[in-house]
Amino acid sequence: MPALVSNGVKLVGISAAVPHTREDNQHLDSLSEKAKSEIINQVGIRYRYVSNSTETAADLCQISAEKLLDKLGWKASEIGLMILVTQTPDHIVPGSASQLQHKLGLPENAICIDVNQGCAGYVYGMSVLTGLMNAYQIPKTLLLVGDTITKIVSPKDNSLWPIFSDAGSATAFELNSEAAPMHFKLGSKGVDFEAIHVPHGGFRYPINDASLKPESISEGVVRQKNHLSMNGQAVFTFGLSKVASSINALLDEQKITALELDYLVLHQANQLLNNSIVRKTGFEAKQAPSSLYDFGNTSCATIPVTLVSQLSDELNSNSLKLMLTGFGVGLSWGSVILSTEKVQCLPMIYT
Amino acid sequence: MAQSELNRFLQVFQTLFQDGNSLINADTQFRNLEEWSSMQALIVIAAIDEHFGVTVAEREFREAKTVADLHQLTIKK
Repeated sequence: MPALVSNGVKLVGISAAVPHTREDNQHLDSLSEKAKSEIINQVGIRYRYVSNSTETAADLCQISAEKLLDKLGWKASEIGLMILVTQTPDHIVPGSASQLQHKLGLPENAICIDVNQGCAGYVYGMSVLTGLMNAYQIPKTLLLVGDTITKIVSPKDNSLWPIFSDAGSATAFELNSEAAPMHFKLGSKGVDFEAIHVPHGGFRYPINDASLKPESISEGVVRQKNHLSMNGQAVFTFGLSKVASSINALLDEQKITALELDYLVLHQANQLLNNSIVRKTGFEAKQAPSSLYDFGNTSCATIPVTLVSQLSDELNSNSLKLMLTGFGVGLSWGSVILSTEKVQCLPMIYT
Repeated sequence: MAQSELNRFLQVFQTLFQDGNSLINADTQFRNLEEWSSMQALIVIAAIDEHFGVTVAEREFREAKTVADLHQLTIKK
């Protein structure tokens, strides 16, 4: 399928928030010195943000949205559509978007929906949001993307706990007939869904006594069936093959080379993988900013966290042509090429 | 030809380990190396992709035992 085109929508503002508590992999006693070195120097992650028991992804998105609306001078009553992308909602039922409608003071006739997506979620959410804006001619909208993924990772899982981190974000869009088109390329490969999944806790395999029993998977990896599990090698090869080829296909379709773009903002999971994707798609290393060292893998929020933490000055003052690429859970992937012009990019919010 | 390709593979493989571990040969069971780890596995997969243009499937990688087995995966494709 050729790239999806979204016309007449402009990205006007972006913000992101992380919890107060920061953990340092250098001081994670459960890790050997060798494992610390690999995670910090190869995977690229030193610091992670961990939410407390009362703070949720919706909360991190809410504060991001409130500060962004304030900065833009937008009234909550002007928002006609809000999409919340998260895998860690406040409740199983209902989705969290409707509660955020209330907490943010959005009008009761605004469209507020949850999208269950992970590492590709920022791009998926942007695709759904801008598509609906076009279809229904909604002037002002919000895309909220965040996860408190540490809440579903076993603290005794040395393969995942040193990697995952929590964050929320808000991105504002408006209809603007002069905005350059956005070009999306999305994909799914559900056959490999078990590569990243939580086995129990949904309705296929509800929680039972066995779900809560700690299991020793390998040395240093103890988790329960209601914790996140990941096959790192499978995800790595997926990134090398599907993600790189999808980026190349989008570049080819748009008849543009990597070097004609200002930045490639990749999902932040593993620096070695991102270096390989950059190499396979013709970008230069300096075009691919990284927030891994300071923020870790914040699931669906890695792209806005990277935009806010690494490109804030340029987004605020320049016109940029970007490719944003998310990939992971699903398995799924998505890229978008978009142009930005003097985006209101707020400094990182620490709750 | 095949032998020189195996040698080239071996040379690349050795550079991925500290000190360019020259004790590694085609029959080395790489998972038994002291340096082996899940991260080292990703480093090997990335290097095979970069130097030989082959993205090894995770299942095939898991079944490979020796360096020569890994080299075979780059030929089959």
